[in-house]
Amino acid sequence: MTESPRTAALAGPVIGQEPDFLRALPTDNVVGAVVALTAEVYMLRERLSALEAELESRRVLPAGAVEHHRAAPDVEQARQRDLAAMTQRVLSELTRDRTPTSTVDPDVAKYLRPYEDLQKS
Amino acid sequence: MNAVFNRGRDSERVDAPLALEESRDFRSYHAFLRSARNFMEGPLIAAMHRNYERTLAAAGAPEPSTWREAEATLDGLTEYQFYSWCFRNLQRFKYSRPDLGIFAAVHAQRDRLAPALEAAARSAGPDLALDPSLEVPEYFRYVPFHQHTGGVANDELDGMVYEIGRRTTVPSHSDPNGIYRILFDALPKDRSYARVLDWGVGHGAALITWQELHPESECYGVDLSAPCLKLAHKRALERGMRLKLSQQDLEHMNFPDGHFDLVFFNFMLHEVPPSNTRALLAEARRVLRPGGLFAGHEFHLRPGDPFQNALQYSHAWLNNETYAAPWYSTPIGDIARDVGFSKVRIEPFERLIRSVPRSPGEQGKAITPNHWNLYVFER
Repeated sequence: MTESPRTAALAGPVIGQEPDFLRALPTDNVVGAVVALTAEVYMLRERLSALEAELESRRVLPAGAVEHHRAAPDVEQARQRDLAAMTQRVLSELTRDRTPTSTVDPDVAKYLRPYEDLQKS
Repeated sequence: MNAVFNRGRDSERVDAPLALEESRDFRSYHAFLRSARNFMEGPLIAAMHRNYERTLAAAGAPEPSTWREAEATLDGLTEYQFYSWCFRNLQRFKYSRPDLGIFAAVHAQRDRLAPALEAAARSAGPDLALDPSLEVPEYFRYVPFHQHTGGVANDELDGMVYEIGRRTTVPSHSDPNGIYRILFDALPKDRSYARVLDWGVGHGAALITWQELHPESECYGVDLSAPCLKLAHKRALERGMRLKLSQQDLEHMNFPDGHFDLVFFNFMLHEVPPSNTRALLAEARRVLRPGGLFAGHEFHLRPGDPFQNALQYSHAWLNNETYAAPWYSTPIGDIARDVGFSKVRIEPFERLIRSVPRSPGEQGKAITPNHWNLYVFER
């Protein structure tokens, strides 16, 4: 029911496959969002860097403590698992199955008749 | 208060608060999704509307007179395409993404959450009447509303998933119970509400909010979903409340005629198909005393606003609000009169309608992410 010659306007419930809303989205816009996200990441890096410097200057941490930090083996293993999970979360979007996570039953069409039509029949 | 101890593990009280243990990542992930949804419902709609008007003006086209004409123009706009992606996929991100989606987070804690809900349900006595033999209506099984995979009556933890998911149902309201208070505040205050029914009580938040505001009321809640009812019961226990909850089909309830002073609902009408609307209203009227009120709020079209109405129709398909499409053309007021309601009031619910800020100096009709009506039918 979602087959439509249009771009994003659906003609019925999503059944069978997820719609492709953004097939006409200009690449420039996607790049714009990526650059904006990059700026956000940089701002976070800069704040972390400032935080490290402050902690070092106040002698809360010794100089280079973060840079030279080596995690205990169990902590390192947890980090590796965290990295793998994060990678999966982000990159699985590129390969995700287009089957809807929640599928409307195709037989729903019989419940979509307007009230006026029901009164006539 | 009844006995409130879990019979299996006496050290744990069944009225102890039960919550998902949320990691820092879970909290910040969902905070971001909420912010993204606010972007979608605010600046993105405003930008879409600007481009819509520019596009019509550039084409020398007249103002669309129908939502379908408006949709045809919107369909070519990048803003509308991204809006559609956001509506569909932010909901998917919320529920179904690995690790941080609500399903993953809740199911990872099944061993703690499910027994606590079950223990509370076992302690309920007559306050919680479940009916395992209840035949759930076909229309309800066909549609996983709001992209809640499997629907809200499938898994023992569906009530918790539903409850957590509502945080972004109306993201502009920072207090998710605020929409209930606004509804209750709009009801006539010159009457007694001794016995009240929440028509589709779900996770119980609305009925609990009512009971907090009206401690004198005897509060009932009906729903098709056993997992939701169990959670509603648990939430009531946590607050020292006694709600009378039962699993029933709203078309065939076991209450006597004229039992309630008020039957209220929260956006329920668009979740049922037109084929069932009349029977549902007739049954709601039957359980009301003469003069009793059937009242609630609901999404609807905005007269004379094709742009807004194209958005309203898009919600039906984008978010599995499937029956919203035929709901918009269902003459609910006429049906209410036909089944015997003596007074029928339907009006825009201005306190719920949030206007999207426009650019400085920009004129025109208000734009809103959702149009709401208030329905008050008197028996």
